[in-house]
Amino acid sequence: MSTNLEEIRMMERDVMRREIKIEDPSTCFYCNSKGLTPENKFCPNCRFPQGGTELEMKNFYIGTAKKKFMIRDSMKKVNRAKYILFALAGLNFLVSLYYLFYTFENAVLAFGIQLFVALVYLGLGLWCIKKPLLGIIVGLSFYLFIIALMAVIDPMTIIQGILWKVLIVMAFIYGIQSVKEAEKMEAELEKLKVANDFTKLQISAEVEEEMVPTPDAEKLEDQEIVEQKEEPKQNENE
Amino acid sequence: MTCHKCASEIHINAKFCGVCGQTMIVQETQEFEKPLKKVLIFFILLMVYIVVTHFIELHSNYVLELAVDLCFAGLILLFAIIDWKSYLHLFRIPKVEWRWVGLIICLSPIFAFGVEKFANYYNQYLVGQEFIGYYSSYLDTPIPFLFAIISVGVFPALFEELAFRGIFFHELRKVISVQGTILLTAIFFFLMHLTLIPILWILPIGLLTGYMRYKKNTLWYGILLHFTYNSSFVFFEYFELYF
Repeated sequence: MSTNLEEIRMMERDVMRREIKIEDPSTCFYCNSKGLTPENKFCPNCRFPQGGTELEMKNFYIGTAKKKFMIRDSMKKVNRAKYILFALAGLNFLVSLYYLFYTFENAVLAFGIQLFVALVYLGLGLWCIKKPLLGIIVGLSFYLFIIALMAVIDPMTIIQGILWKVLIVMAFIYGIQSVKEAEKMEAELEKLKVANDFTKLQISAEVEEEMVPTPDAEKLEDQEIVEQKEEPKQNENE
Repeated sequence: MTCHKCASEIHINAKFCGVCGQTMIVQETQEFEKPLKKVLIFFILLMVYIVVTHFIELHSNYVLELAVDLCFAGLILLFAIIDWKSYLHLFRIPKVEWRWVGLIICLSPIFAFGVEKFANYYNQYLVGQEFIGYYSSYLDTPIPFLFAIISVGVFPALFEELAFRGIFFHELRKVISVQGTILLTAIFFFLMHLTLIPILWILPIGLLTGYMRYKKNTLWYGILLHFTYNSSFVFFEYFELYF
């Protein structure tokens, strides 16, 4: 967290040192959207304060940069959930080794099942790298499934290590939330970057206005349609 | 279009008001949280229900088993009623595609036959336990065959399909892609059976019913597949005992 604050302060200092000079007031300085009018204090596409003071513009830059830091924070929570899956894989693998070296009834079956569980956790952890949301949801449900399965065998296992269990479940839930938050913020930032051409769109809107038929024109069109429908009938009569 | 804050005119494609900076984008605030919460709560409740029912001796008391089945149905219906409009269309009778119906009726007993043989082998040689049949558990009831079909075929087909391909599918679809939803509902379906080895046959069935739910936008094909597959086990045992 402290490194984050330091980084944010450094970024703020960096932005403050920079000079913002707007050469073309009709083009947004941040997203390059065209067609901004003198009345536009803000860019209608990205909300950059094109007509505002330099300080306001710098604050806008700082705000968007902070969002990037927030995305990074969210990804840290996602990574935490991923590391939990790897840790669970490791733990289950160690338990499977225990079953392998200590002989008791059905030891081979217990070893096989434990190894299977370890491999599932490992697979889910690896899946998290490509598809974090799906990986964490399945990881959480599989973890709850194992708790339920153990509870069926021995109900006392629910209480054993309850604090750890709650912490792991919470970490998974925060991971799921963070994935979605990060995805949303990334999409918002991407949207702001895409420039819009407001002059072009204004023209098309005007054209649309011209295309709106007047009542007289509508009547004429209706008459034409009626005539077109009547023509084949006349031919039939002939 | 005008800004609802400062009443100045805004371009039709503007995301913000150029004069006051008011956002024009309808905020999709935390729309993913509600469905995910619903999925998590529903999943945990089903897990708790399944763990609790594992400790109840059901096979000796059919009335108790019926009560447990009704509890399961009640739990699912309770969740479905909260957002019943979203699930109602899934129960509309679709235009019957006989090719699909034929495939389901023909293939699911064949698949069930293979599963039964494998499960028997697995239970006998790997676990060392005798498999208690689906039909023989209902021999104490007044009409064993009918009671077995209702408990093994009808109840799970109707309510498990509503739970997994109805509620879970609908809520997860709001958050993730179609492929992800089909896969997750199939995984949930497998996890709810609270066993590990049956992943080999429960997961494919879950994937297939999920695919049919998506393609046909109805639960009826899934229900038919689930019913024929589950009932096949009762039929096999019945024929083995009496013919």
